[in-house]
Amino acid sequence: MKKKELISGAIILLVVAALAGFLLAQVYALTLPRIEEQKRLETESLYRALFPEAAKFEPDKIGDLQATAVFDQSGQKIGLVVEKRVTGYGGEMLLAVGVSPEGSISGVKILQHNETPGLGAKVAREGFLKQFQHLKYNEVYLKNTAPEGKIDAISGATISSRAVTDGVRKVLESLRTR
Amino acid sequence: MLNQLNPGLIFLSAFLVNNILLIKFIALCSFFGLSSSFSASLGMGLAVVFVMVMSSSVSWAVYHFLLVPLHLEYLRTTTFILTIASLVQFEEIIIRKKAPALYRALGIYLPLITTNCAILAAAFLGIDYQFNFLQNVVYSLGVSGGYCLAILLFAGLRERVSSAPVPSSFQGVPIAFITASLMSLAFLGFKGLFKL
Amino acid sequence: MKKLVNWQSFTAGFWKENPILTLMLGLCPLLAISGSVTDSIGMGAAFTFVLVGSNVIISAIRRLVPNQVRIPVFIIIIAAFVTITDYFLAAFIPGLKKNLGVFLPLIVVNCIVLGRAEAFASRNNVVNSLLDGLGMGAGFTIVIVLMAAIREALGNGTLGPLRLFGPHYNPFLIMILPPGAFLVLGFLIALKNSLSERGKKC
Repeated sequence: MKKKELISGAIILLVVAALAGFLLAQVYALTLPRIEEQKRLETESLYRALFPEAAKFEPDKIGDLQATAVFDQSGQKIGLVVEKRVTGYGGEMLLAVGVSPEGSISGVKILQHNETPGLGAKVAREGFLKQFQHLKYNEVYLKNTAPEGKIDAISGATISSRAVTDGVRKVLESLRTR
Repeated sequence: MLNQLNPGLIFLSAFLVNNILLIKFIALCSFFGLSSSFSASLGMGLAVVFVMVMSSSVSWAVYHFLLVPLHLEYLRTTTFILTIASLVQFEEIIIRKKAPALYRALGIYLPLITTNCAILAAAFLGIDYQFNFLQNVVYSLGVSGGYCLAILLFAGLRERVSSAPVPSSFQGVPIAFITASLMSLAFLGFKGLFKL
Repeated sequence: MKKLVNWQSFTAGFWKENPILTLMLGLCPLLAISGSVTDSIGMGAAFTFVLVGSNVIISAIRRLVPNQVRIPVFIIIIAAFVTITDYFLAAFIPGLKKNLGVFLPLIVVNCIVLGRAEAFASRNNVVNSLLDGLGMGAGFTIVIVLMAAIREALGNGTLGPLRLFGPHYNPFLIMILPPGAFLVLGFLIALKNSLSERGKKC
């Protein structure tokens, strides 16, 4: 009797596993196009946040920097988006810096960070990031650290603010030297 | 990201800075259910180290050598949990044969490890952080070590608290949570420990 | 003979056997997600879906599954529902999936889901298992949303999309950090204990 139970048990297990596997494969196939679409939408909305007239994007390698060239509706190149990893207070941060063809900053966005909510995390807000727009590279410093520095750090979050500022400046520097 | 650091930092990050219990909040059932006894906590902690390192490694291998080549990534959840459940069964048999005293000490906690969130979480995170095999091993050591540390510290604290005058509605679980809150606060201090 | 539709199966999950406050199960996602009200509602919904779905299926096949293989069978069914939820969220509400992070797949090992499968769904009919799933799911959701409301209101000054205390509110920062979660839960359980004068452990 025990052997019979074991066999019927194994059969049920296999049947359940097969059904589950089949069901999951269907769900995966069903949702895959939508998921890809979501990813595309997310990247596009990021680029549009940095360049409002953005319509097309193409990867562009500049020296050893991985960047994305951004084009408007008429096919004209309106800028470059460079992603940069920096070390913040709570760990790594991923920045996206939009640079116009003339070399000025069109915008900065924080894609990922691990900063303290309510303190360091405030660097991800528009209030702080807005300061970077249109700055020249020698102005991308915290106010008290360089004569032309124009960035106000977030009070209580100097390390996070400095990390972002230094990261943006390094992007500009590497683009200049190419 | 994390996978570009040297193994020592990966370990420290998992052990302290992102302690699985006190900062990431994973595996709390076992935390509160067990830690009233120091010896049970020690047993559970060691069992977790053993199970986690093995299951993280096996899950990593299954994912990278089986699921990815066959484009079956969506079976990740199912295969990982089944791997863990099987490994725990397997280990239960081995421990019962080789170390019967330990087996008796762990009691119900050994099979319970299957539902220990930390084991599954470590397997998942090892994939998400894109570690190679060696980094994954170091990571699982750090995570399980951090679990051990937190659970032992907590057990010690709870034994002290149990002999203190606590208002009746707070007795038992609630005061345990408040203790955990203070411990968590202390561990938050590790956040700026080093520039990762 | 057990009742066909036992409404108590539904109500038990709210208070008397509230999975979190009384049974002390399923804590993992609770502390991590309860920093945000919107995330908590999402988590509660996902959790209830998995719980109800697995309860129903397990109850439906309960007579067919021999004893030794029941745990692996339950696990496969629960894992399947979790994976379905995972991919649906990725496709339709990716923001929620990103915020839930690793806690979404962790529903698989959530004590509540496995516990109900074992303790209830495998021994009761489909309708009652459905009700039990709904009740437990509701109980879980209520607690996590309540915690989130407290933590988010105090720690961030917001409640979902609403700003509560105006722009000059200096938030009680600790509330949205890990220690605050432990604190709020400790107090909630103490409150429940004093209201019902008993407390149980998992």
